[in-house]
Amino acid sequence: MEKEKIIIKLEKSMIKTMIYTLIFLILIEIIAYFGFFRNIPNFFSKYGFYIIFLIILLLVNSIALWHIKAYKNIFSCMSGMMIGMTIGMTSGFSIGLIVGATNGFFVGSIAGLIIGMIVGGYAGNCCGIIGVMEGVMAGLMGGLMGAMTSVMALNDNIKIFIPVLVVSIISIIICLIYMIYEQEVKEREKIDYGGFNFLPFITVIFVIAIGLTFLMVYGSRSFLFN
Amino acid sequence: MGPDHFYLIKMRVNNIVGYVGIILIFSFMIFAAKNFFSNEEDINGNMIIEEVKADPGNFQIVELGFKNYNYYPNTINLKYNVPTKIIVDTNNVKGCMRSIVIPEFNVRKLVKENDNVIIFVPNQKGIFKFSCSMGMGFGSIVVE
Repeated sequence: MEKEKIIIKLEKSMIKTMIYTLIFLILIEIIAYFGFFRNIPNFFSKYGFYIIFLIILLLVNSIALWHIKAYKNIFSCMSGMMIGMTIGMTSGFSIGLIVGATNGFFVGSIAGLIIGMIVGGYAGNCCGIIGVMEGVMAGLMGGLMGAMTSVMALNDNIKIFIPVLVVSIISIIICLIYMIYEQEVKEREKIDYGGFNFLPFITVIFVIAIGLTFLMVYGSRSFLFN
Repeated sequence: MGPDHFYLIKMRVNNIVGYVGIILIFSFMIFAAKNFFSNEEDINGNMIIEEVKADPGNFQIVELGFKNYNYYPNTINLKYNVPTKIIVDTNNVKGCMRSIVIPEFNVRKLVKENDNVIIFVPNQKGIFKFSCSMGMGFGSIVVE
């Protein structure tokens, strides 16, 4: 009974964090638009469309990470590897995909693989070094693949392709969250409630979101975009 | 160093990151507000788009095919400011090679069997690259 209460508390807390983070991300992007980007011609079609999906993907990946870290206990090797791989791949792929669509392969893959490797390694850390390795490798692969995919789709309905990929990534993250519950949480006798403090969590998201937004708008571009 | 010690260090790091975050977010808002209320135009807001007027009747025509895993001809010579038609041979040019990009002349087109002509005006002199959108097939345009 005690365990059920903790699980419900944790899931409620996750939903609350998700809503606050979403509101925060929307607000800072609106402030960034009026403060820095409002004079850029065709801003919405050039960048705004991709920034919307950047917000969604950042939110989904960060909440998945929050959810993993919320269950403080060490996970089994198999689950940890799956977690590292999924989070590394989805975060690297997402960033590579979005940045690749506005800046080209080089900048997109660099941004994707750096963030993917860091996030994947951090997520995989829940089971030790094997999970870290799995996360780092998946981050590397995801970052490169995301940027490559968006550059390849540039002349082939990319604005339809990105929403489809975003929906796929969201469904994978939901499956991962369910897998954690099914494989790790359900069988445990005792659950510890972890998670992040809201302020450091939001700080990291703020730095990544604003950093990537400025990179997309003012960063160097492949010659395809000049 | 016991687990309590690590916990304390973690808490301290969290607090520092939190304070840094507050400073960053406020600085960002102040800069954004300052920019919003100032009258300075963004450099991108002053972009000048040159309109080139050219006689639409006199086209120079280039036929572009595919040979040795690349575009053929690989170097195209064009006259300055004369409207140009590049007719892509879709029997030879396949796959991603059909997505042709010439950034300097704002050309980006996916050619098809029934729409295989790229029209533009070479309004700059020099040597410019053209390629498929993935950069796998490429060549040069020399405008004189």
